[in-house]
Amino acid sequence: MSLDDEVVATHLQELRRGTVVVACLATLRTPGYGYALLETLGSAGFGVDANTLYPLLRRLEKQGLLVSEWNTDDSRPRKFYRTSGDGLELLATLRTDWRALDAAITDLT
Amino acid sequence: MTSSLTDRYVTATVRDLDDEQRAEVERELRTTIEDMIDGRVEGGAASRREAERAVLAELGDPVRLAAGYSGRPLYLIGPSVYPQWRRVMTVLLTTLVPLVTAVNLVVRLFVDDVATDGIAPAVVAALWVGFLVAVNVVFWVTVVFALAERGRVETGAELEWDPDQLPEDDGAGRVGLGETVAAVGFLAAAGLAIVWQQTSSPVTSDGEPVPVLDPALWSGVLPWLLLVLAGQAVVAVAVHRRGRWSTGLAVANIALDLAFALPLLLVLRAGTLFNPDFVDVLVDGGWVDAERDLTVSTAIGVVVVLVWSVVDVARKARPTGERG
Repeated sequence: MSLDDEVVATHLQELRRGTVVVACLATLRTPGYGYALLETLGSAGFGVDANTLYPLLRRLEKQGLLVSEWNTDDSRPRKFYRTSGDGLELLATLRTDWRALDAAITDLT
Repeated sequence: MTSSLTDRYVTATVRDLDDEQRAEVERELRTTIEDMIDGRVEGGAASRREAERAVLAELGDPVRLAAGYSGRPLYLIGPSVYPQWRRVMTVLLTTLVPLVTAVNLVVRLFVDDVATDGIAPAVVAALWVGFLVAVNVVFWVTVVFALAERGRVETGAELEWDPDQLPEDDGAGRVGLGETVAAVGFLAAAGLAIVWQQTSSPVTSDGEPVPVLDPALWSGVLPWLLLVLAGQAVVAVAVHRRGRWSTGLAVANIALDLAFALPLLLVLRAGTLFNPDFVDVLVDGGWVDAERDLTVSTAIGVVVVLVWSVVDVARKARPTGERG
Protein backbone atom coordinates (compact mmCIF):
# COMPACT_ATOMS: atom_id res chain seq x y z
CA MET A 1 0.00 0.00 0.00
CA SER A 2 1.64 3.22 -1.16
CA LEU A 3 1.24 6.66 0.29
CA ASP A 4 -1.16 9.03 -1.39
CA ASP A 5 0.96 11.18 -3.73
CA GLU A 6 -0.81 14.32 -2.67
CA VAL A 7 -0.14 13.69 1.01
CA VAL A 8 3.54 13.19 0.27
CA ALA A 9 3.64 16.31 -1.89
CA THR A 10 2.02 18.44 0.83
CA HIS A 11 4.51 17.40 3.48
CA LEU A 12 7.47 17.82 1.13
CA GLN A 13 6.20 21.30 0.36
CA GLU A 14 6.03 22.09 4.08
CA LEU A 15 9.60 20.98 4.49
CA ARG A 16 10.77 23.04 1.50
CA ARG A 17 8.85 26.14 2.61
CA GLY A 18 11.25 26.86 5.40
CA THR A 19 14.35 26.44 3.27
CA VAL A 20 13.60 28.84 0.42
CA VAL A 21 14.80 31.87 2.41
CA VAL A 22 18.10 30.17 3.25
CA ALA A 23 18.52 29.19 -0.40
CA CYS A 24 17.87 32.77 -1.55
CA LEU A 25 20.24 34.35 0.97
CA ALA A 26 22.94 31.83 0.07
CA THR A 27 22.55 32.18 -3.69
CA LEU A 28 22.41 35.96 -3.61
CA ARG A 29 25.82 36.29 -2.05
CA THR A 30 26.52 36.73 -5.72
CA PRO A 31 24.21 39.47 -7.07
CA GLY A 32 21.37 38.12 -9.14
CA TYR A 33 18.03 39.11 -10.58
CA GLY A 34 14.56 37.58 -10.33
CA TYR A 35 14.37 35.23 -13.25
CA ALA A 36 17.96 34.02 -13.07
CA LEU A 37 17.46 33.21 -9.40
CA LEU A 38 14.32 31.29 -10.25
CA GLU A 39 16.28 29.15 -12.72
CA THR A 40 19.20 28.63 -10.33
CA LEU A 41 16.94 27.55 -7.49
CA GLY A 42 14.99 25.33 -9.84
CA SER A 43 18.03 23.45 -11.08
CA ALA A 44 19.41 23.21 -7.52
CA GLY A 45 16.29 21.36 -6.49
CA PHE A 46 14.45 24.24 -4.77
CA GLY A 47 11.50 24.47 -7.09
CA VAL A 48 9.76 27.71 -6.18
CA ASP A 49 6.76 29.26 -7.89
CA ALA A 50 7.49 32.54 -9.63
CA ASN A 51 4.55 34.21 -7.86
CA THR A 52 6.04 33.16 -4.50
CA LEU A 53 9.65 34.11 -5.21
CA TYR A 54 9.27 37.68 -6.45
CA PRO A 55 7.15 38.94 -3.56
CA LEU A 56 9.52 37.06 -1.22
CA LEU A 57 12.51 38.96 -2.61
CA ARG A 58 10.75 42.27 -1.97
CA ARG A 59 9.87 41.17 1.57
CA LEU A 60 13.46 40.21 2.30
CA GLU A 61 14.60 43.54 0.91
CA LYS A 62 12.08 45.33 3.11
CA GLN A 63 13.45 43.44 6.12
CA GLY A 64 16.96 44.63 5.24
CA LEU A 65 18.27 41.17 4.41
CA LEU A 66 18.78 42.00 0.74
CA VAL A 67 19.90 45.16 -1.00
CA SER A 68 18.95 45.95 -4.55
CA GLU A 69 20.06 48.16 -7.38
CA TRP A 70 18.80 48.71 -10.86
CA ASN A 71 21.03 47.67 -13.69
CA THR A 72 20.34 49.34 -17.04
CA ASP A 73 23.16 47.76 -19.03
CA ASP A 74 20.88 45.46 -21.01
CA SER A 75 17.98 46.58 -23.15
CA ARG A 76 15.77 45.56 -20.26
CA PRO A 77 16.32 47.28 -16.90
CA ARG A 78 16.91 44.61 -14.29
CA LYS A 79 16.74 44.78 -10.53
CA PHE A 80 19.72 43.02 -9.00
CA TYR A 81 19.49 41.70 -5.44
CA ARG A 82 22.42 41.01 -3.19
CA THR A 83 22.58 39.61 0.33
CA SER A 84 23.27 42.43 2.79
CA GLY A 85 25.43 42.32 5.89
CA ASP A 86 22.36 41.57 8.02
CA GLY A 87 21.38 38.95 5.49
CA LEU A 88 24.77 37.23 5.77
CA GLU A 89 24.44 37.25 9.55
CA LEU A 90 21.00 35.70 9.35
CA LEU A 91 22.25 33.16 6.85
CA ALA A 92 24.94 32.03 9.29
CA THR A 93 22.37 31.79 12.10
CA LEU A 94 19.97 29.81 9.97
CA ARG A 95 22.67 27.42 8.81
CA THR A 96 23.82 26.79 12.37
CA ASP A 97 20.23 26.09 13.32
CA TRP A 98 19.90 23.83 10.32
CA ARG A 99 22.89 21.74 11.36
CA ALA A 100 21.56 21.53 14.91
CA LEU A 101 18.20 20.34 13.61
CA ASP A 102 19.88 17.80 11.40
CA ALA A 103 21.86 16.42 14.34
CA ALA A 104 18.73 16.32 16.53
CA ILE A 105 16.75 14.47 13.90
CA THR A 106 19.60 12.03 13.36
CA ASP A 107 19.54 11.34 17.09
CA LEU A 108 15.78 10.84 17.03
CA THR A 109 15.81 8.53 14.05
CA MET B 1 -1.03 50.50 -29.79
CA THR B 2 -3.06 47.49 -28.86
CA SER B 3 -2.63 46.52 -25.23
CA SER B 4 -0.99 43.17 -24.84
CA LEU B 5 -1.86 40.55 -22.28
CA THR B 6 1.25 41.56 -20.37
CA ASP B 7 0.15 45.19 -20.18
CA ARG B 8 -3.24 44.15 -18.90
CA TYR B 9 -1.72 41.75 -16.39
CA VAL B 10 0.76 44.26 -15.01
CA THR B 11 -1.92 46.95 -14.76
CA ALA B 12 -4.24 44.58 -12.91
CA THR B 13 -1.50 43.65 -10.47
CA VAL B 14 -0.13 47.08 -9.60
CA ARG B 15 -3.57 48.63 -9.27
CA ASP B 16 -3.84 47.25 -5.73
CA LEU B 17 -0.43 48.47 -4.65
CA ASP B 18 0.67 51.61 -2.83
CA ASP B 19 2.12 54.45 -4.88
CA GLU B 20 5.64 53.91 -3.60
CA GLN B 21 5.63 50.26 -4.56
CA ARG B 22 3.80 50.64 -7.81
CA ALA B 23 6.42 52.01 -10.19
CA GLU B 24 9.17 49.66 -9.03
CA VAL B 25 7.03 46.54 -9.06
CA GLU B 26 5.70 47.40 -12.50
CA ARG B 27 9.19 47.77 -13.90
CA GLU B 28 10.47 44.61 -12.30
CA LEU B 29 7.42 42.57 -13.16
CA ARG B 30 7.55 43.52 -16.84
CA THR B 31 11.19 42.52 -17.12
CA THR B 32 10.55 39.27 -15.29
CA ILE B 33 7.65 38.38 -17.54
CA GLU B 34 9.77 39.10 -20.59
CA ASP B 35 12.55 36.91 -19.22
CA MET B 36 10.14 34.11 -18.49
CA ILE B 37 8.69 34.34 -22.00
CA ASP B 38 12.19 34.18 -23.46
CA GLY B 39 12.84 31.10 -21.35
CA ARG B 40 9.77 29.37 -22.68
CA VAL B 41 10.48 30.32 -26.27
CA GLU B 42 14.00 28.90 -25.98
CA GLY B 43 12.50 25.85 -24.32
CA GLY B 44 10.39 25.27 -27.41
CA ALA B 45 7.12 27.16 -27.12
CA ALA B 46 4.98 27.34 -30.26
CA SER B 47 4.97 31.14 -30.48
CA ARG B 48 5.66 34.19 -28.39
CA ARG B 49 1.97 34.70 -27.82
CA GLU B 50 1.61 31.14 -26.57
CA ALA B 51 4.59 31.60 -24.28
CA GLU B 52 3.16 34.89 -22.98
CA ARG B 53 -0.15 33.27 -22.21
CA ALA B 54 1.53 30.35 -20.44
CA VAL B 55 3.75 32.63 -18.36
CA LEU B 56 0.84 34.76 -17.19
CA ALA B 57 -1.13 31.64 -16.35
CA GLU B 58 1.83 30.44 -14.31
CA LEU B 59 2.01 33.72 -12.42
CA GLY B 60 -1.65 33.36 -11.57
CA ASP B 61 -4.39 35.68 -10.37
CA PRO B 62 -3.11 39.32 -10.29
CA VAL B 63 -5.05 39.94 -7.10
CA ARG B 64 -3.21 37.10 -5.42
CA LEU B 65 0.15 38.28 -6.72
CA ALA B 66 -0.53 41.84 -5.57
CA ALA B 67 -1.46 40.54 -2.12
CA GLY B 68 1.90 38.79 -2.00
CA TYR B 69 3.61 42.11 -2.73
CA SER B 70 1.52 44.25 -0.40
CA GLY B 71 1.19 41.75 2.43
CA ARG B 72 -2.53 42.36 2.70
CA PRO B 73 -4.68 39.37 3.72
CA LEU B 74 -6.70 37.50 1.11
CA TYR B 75 -9.78 37.30 3.34
CA LEU B 76 -12.29 39.61 4.99
CA ILE B 77 -12.47 37.91 8.34
CA GLY B 78 -9.51 35.84 9.34
CA PRO B 79 -8.97 33.03 11.83
CA SER B 80 -7.99 35.29 14.69
CA VAL B 81 -11.16 37.36 14.56
CA TYR B 82 -13.60 34.70 13.33
CA PRO B 83 -14.62 33.18 16.71
CA GLN B 84 -15.70 36.56 18.06
CA TRP B 85 -17.53 37.33 14.84
CA ARG B 86 -19.42 34.10 15.04
CA ARG B 87 -20.37 34.64 18.67
CA VAL B 88 -21.69 38.16 18.08
CA MET B 89 -23.56 37.05 14.98
CA THR B 90 -25.23 34.11 16.75
CA VAL B 91 -26.34 36.17 19.72
CA LEU B 92 -27.76 38.98 17.63
CA LEU B 93 -29.52 36.74 15.14
CA THR B 94 -31.13 34.50 17.74
CA THR B 95 -32.41 37.41 19.80
CA LEU B 96 -33.22 40.22 17.37
CA VAL B 97 -34.78 38.32 14.48
CA PRO B 98 -37.45 36.35 16.40
CA LEU B 99 -38.20 39.39 18.53
CA VAL B 100 -38.69 41.78 15.64
CA THR B 101 -40.67 39.24 13.64
CA ALA B 102 -43.01 38.50 16.54
CA VAL B 103 -43.59 42.14 17.41
CA ASN B 104 -44.19 43.03 13.80
CA LEU B 105 -46.65 40.19 13.40
CA VAL B 106 -48.64 41.19 16.46
CA VAL B 107 -48.83 44.82 15.46
CA ARG B 108 -49.94 43.93 11.97
CA LEU B 109 -52.60 41.54 13.23
CA PHE B 110 -54.15 44.32 15.22
CA VAL B 111 -53.68 47.12 12.75
CA ASP B 112 -54.45 45.39 9.45
CA ASP B 113 -57.93 44.38 8.50
CA VAL B 114 -57.70 40.69 9.26
CA ALA B 115 -61.37 40.09 8.54
CA THR B 116 -61.08 40.90 4.86
CA ASP B 117 -57.45 40.02 4.06
CA GLY B 118 -56.84 37.07 6.31
CA ILE B 119 -53.67 36.63 8.34
CA ALA B 120 -51.50 35.61 5.38
CA PRO B 121 -50.42 39.13 4.36
CA ALA B 122 -49.55 39.97 7.97
CA VAL B 123 -47.50 36.79 8.36
CA VAL B 124 -45.69 37.31 5.07
CA ALA B 125 -44.95 40.93 5.88
CA ALA B 126 -43.67 40.02 9.35
CA LEU B 127 -41.42 37.28 7.92
CA TRP B 128 -40.08 39.72 5.35
CA VAL B 129 -39.20 42.23 8.06
CA GLY B 130 -37.51 39.45 10.02
CA PHE B 131 -35.51 38.56 6.91
CA LEU B 132 -34.47 42.18 6.38
CA VAL B 133 -33.35 42.46 10.00
CA ALA B 134 -31.31 39.28 9.62
CA VAL B 135 -29.66 40.59 6.45
CA ASN B 136 -28.82 43.87 8.14
CA VAL B 137 -27.37 42.14 11.20
CA VAL B 138 -25.18 39.91 9.04
CA PHE B 139 -24.02 42.86 6.93
CA TRP B 140 -23.18 45.32 9.68
CA VAL B 141 -21.55 42.78 11.99
CA THR B 142 -19.41 41.54 9.09
CA VAL B 143 -18.43 45.09 8.10
CA VAL B 144 -17.39 45.95 11.64
CA PHE B 145 -15.35 42.78 11.99
CA ALA B 146 -13.77 43.16 8.53
CA LEU B 147 -12.58 46.60 9.62
CA ALA B 148 -11.32 45.11 12.87
CA GLU B 149 -9.41 42.49 10.88
CA ARG B 150 -7.77 45.18 8.75
CA GLY B 151 -6.95 47.12 11.88
CA ARG B 152 -5.44 44.03 13.42
CA VAL B 153 -3.21 43.49 10.38
CA GLU B 154 -2.07 47.11 10.46
CA THR B 155 -1.40 47.35 14.18
CA GLY B 156 -0.66 43.74 14.99
CA ALA B 157 -3.04 43.79 17.96
CA GLU B 158 -4.81 40.53 18.75
CA LEU B 159 -8.24 39.86 20.22
CA GLU B 160 -7.49 38.15 23.48
CA TRP B 161 -9.59 35.34 24.81
CA ASP B 162 -9.49 34.36 28.43
CA PRO B 163 -11.47 31.77 30.37
CA ASP B 164 -13.71 34.47 31.85
CA GLN B 165 -15.41 34.67 28.47
CA LEU B 166 -16.72 31.13 28.70
CA PRO B 167 -20.51 30.86 28.63
CA GLU B 168 -22.20 30.01 31.92
CA ASP B 169 -23.57 26.73 30.65
CA ASP B 170 -21.38 23.99 32.10
CA GLY B 171 -23.16 21.26 30.20
CA ALA B 172 -24.76 19.83 33.31
CA GLY B 173 -27.67 22.25 33.16
CA ARG B 174 -27.96 22.25 36.88
CA VAL B 175 -30.85 24.34 38.19
CA GLY B 176 -29.98 25.92 41.50
CA LEU B 177 -32.10 27.12 44.35
CA GLY B 178 -31.72 30.73 43.34
CA GLU B 179 -33.11 30.10 39.89
CA THR B 180 -36.07 28.14 41.25
CA VAL B 181 -36.91 30.74 43.88
CA ALA B 182 -36.80 33.44 41.22
CA ALA B 183 -39.11 31.45 38.94
CA VAL B 184 -41.65 30.67 41.65
CA GLY B 185 -41.45 34.20 42.95
CA PHE B 186 -42.14 35.62 39.52
CA LEU B 187 -45.16 33.33 39.06
CA ALA B 188 -46.49 34.25 42.48
CA ALA B 189 -46.09 37.92 41.70
CA ALA B 190 -47.98 37.50 38.43
CA GLY B 191 -50.81 35.68 40.22
CA LEU B 192 -50.94 38.29 42.94
CA ALA B 193 -50.98 41.07 40.38
CA ILE B 194 -54.04 39.57 38.78
CA VAL B 195 -55.83 39.40 42.11
CA TRP B 196 -54.60 42.74 43.34
CA GLN B 197 -55.71 44.71 40.30
CA GLN B 198 -59.25 43.64 41.12
CA THR B 199 -59.28 44.46 44.79
CA SER B 200 -57.07 47.51 45.01
CA SER B 201 -56.15 48.87 41.63
CA PRO B 202 -54.06 52.05 41.64
CA VAL B 203 -56.40 53.72 39.17
CA THR B 204 -59.31 55.39 40.87
CA SER B 205 -62.48 57.09 39.83
CA ASP B 206 -64.41 59.07 42.44
CA GLY B 207 -62.19 57.53 45.09
CA GLU B 208 -63.23 53.99 44.17
CA PRO B 209 -60.54 51.67 42.79
CA VAL B 210 -61.23 50.71 39.19
CA PRO B 211 -60.07 47.22 38.23
CA VAL B 212 -57.83 47.14 35.16
CA LEU B 213 -59.22 43.90 33.78
CA ASP B 214 -62.86 43.34 33.09
CA PRO B 215 -64.43 41.88 36.26
CA ALA B 216 -66.65 39.68 34.10
CA LEU B 217 -63.55 37.69 33.28
CA TRP B 218 -63.53 36.29 36.79
CA SER B 219 -66.07 33.75 35.65
CA GLY B 220 -63.93 32.81 32.67
CA VAL B 221 -60.31 33.36 31.80
CA LEU B 222 -58.84 34.75 35.02
CA PRO B 223 -59.24 31.68 37.25
CA TRP B 224 -57.81 29.62 34.39
CA LEU B 225 -54.76 31.90 34.23
CA LEU B 226 -54.21 31.56 37.97
CA LEU B 227 -54.45 27.78 37.62
CA VAL B 228 -51.86 27.81 34.83
CA LEU B 229 -49.51 29.93 36.92
CA ALA B 230 -49.88 27.46 39.78
CA GLY B 231 -49.10 24.67 37.33
CA GLN B 232 -45.91 26.41 36.24
CA ALA B 233 -44.88 26.82 39.87
CA VAL B 234 -45.30 23.07 40.31
CA VAL B 235 -43.11 22.48 37.26
CA ALA B 236 -40.46 24.83 38.62
CA VAL B 237 -40.34 22.92 41.90
CA ALA B 238 -40.20 19.60 40.05
CA VAL B 239 -37.25 20.87 38.01
CA HIS B 240 -35.50 21.89 41.19
CA ARG B 241 -36.03 18.50 42.82
CA ARG B 242 -34.80 16.72 39.72
CA GLY B 243 -31.77 19.01 39.45
CA ARG B 244 -32.17 19.94 35.81
CA TRP B 245 -34.73 20.30 33.06
CA SER B 246 -35.94 17.18 31.26
CA THR B 247 -37.65 16.97 27.92
CA GLY B 248 -40.93 16.07 29.62
CA LEU B 249 -40.81 18.99 32.03
CA ALA B 250 -39.81 21.34 29.22
CA VAL B 251 -42.77 20.22 27.13
CA ALA B 252 -45.07 20.65 30.13
CA ASN B 253 -43.77 24.15 30.72
CA ILE B 254 -44.14 25.13 27.07
CA ALA B 255 -47.68 23.73 27.05
CA LEU B 256 -48.49 25.81 30.12
CA ASP B 257 -46.92 28.87 28.50
CA LEU B 258 -49.22 28.41 25.53
CA ALA B 259 -52.19 27.70 27.83
CA PHE B 260 -51.51 31.06 29.42
CA ALA B 261 -50.79 33.11 26.32
CA LEU B 262 -53.40 31.85 23.87
CA PRO B 263 -56.56 32.46 25.93
CA LEU B 264 -55.13 35.82 26.92
CA LEU B 265 -54.52 36.76 23.30
CA LEU B 266 -58.00 35.55 22.30
CA VAL B 267 -59.60 37.69 24.97
CA LEU B 268 -57.46 40.62 23.86
CA ARG B 269 -58.52 40.10 20.28
CA ALA B 270 -62.16 40.02 21.27
CA GLY B 271 -61.61 43.30 23.07
CA THR B 272 -62.95 42.01 26.37
CA LEU B 273 -59.77 42.01 28.44
CA PHE B 274 -59.80 45.50 29.80
CA ASN B 275 -62.46 46.85 32.09
CA PRO B 276 -64.53 49.42 30.14
CA ASP B 277 -64.63 51.65 33.21
CA PHE B 278 -60.84 51.55 33.36
CA VAL B 279 -60.54 52.54 29.71
CA ASP B 280 -63.04 55.35 30.26
CA VAL B 281 -60.90 56.74 33.06
CA LEU B 282 -57.86 56.75 30.79
CA VAL B 283 -59.72 58.33 27.89
CA ASP B 284 -61.15 60.99 30.18
CA GLY B 285 -57.63 61.64 31.39
CA GLY B 286 -56.58 62.49 27.85
CA TRP B 287 -55.32 59.17 26.45
CA VAL B 288 -57.67 59.05 23.48
CA ASP B 289 -56.46 55.81 21.91
CA ALA B 290 -56.13 54.04 25.24
CA GLU B 291 -58.05 50.93 24.22
CA ARG B 292 -56.06 50.28 21.10
CA ASP B 293 -52.67 51.21 22.56
CA LEU B 294 -53.18 49.01 25.60
CA THR B 295 -54.35 46.11 23.47
CA VAL B 296 -51.41 46.26 21.11
CA SER B 297 -48.77 46.73 23.78
CA THR B 298 -50.20 43.97 25.97
CA ALA B 299 -50.29 41.62 23.00
CA ILE B 300 -46.69 42.44 22.16
CA GLY B 301 -45.70 41.85 25.76
CA VAL B 302 -47.46 38.49 25.88
CA VAL B 303 -45.89 37.30 22.63
CA VAL B 304 -42.40 38.48 23.60
CA VAL B 305 -42.55 36.77 26.99
CA LEU B 306 -43.94 33.63 25.39
CA VAL B 307 -41.22 33.42 22.76
CA TRP B 308 -38.48 34.16 25.25
CA SER B 309 -39.82 31.61 27.74
CA VAL B 310 -40.12 28.87 25.14
CA VAL B 311 -36.63 29.49 23.74
CA ASP B 312 -35.13 29.67 27.22
CA VAL B 313 -36.65 26.38 28.38
CA ALA B 314 -35.90 24.63 25.09
CA ARG B 315 -32.28 25.66 25.42
CA LYS B 316 -32.03 24.47 29.03
CA ALA B 317 -33.59 21.11 28.26
CA ARG B 318 -31.13 20.39 25.46
CA PRO B 319 -29.66 16.94 25.97
CA THR B 320 -26.02 17.07 27.08
CA GLY B 321 -23.24 14.55 27.46
CA GLU B 322 -22.43 12.38 30.42
CA ARG B 323 -22.51 15.13 33.02
CA GLY B 324 -25.58 15.92 35.17
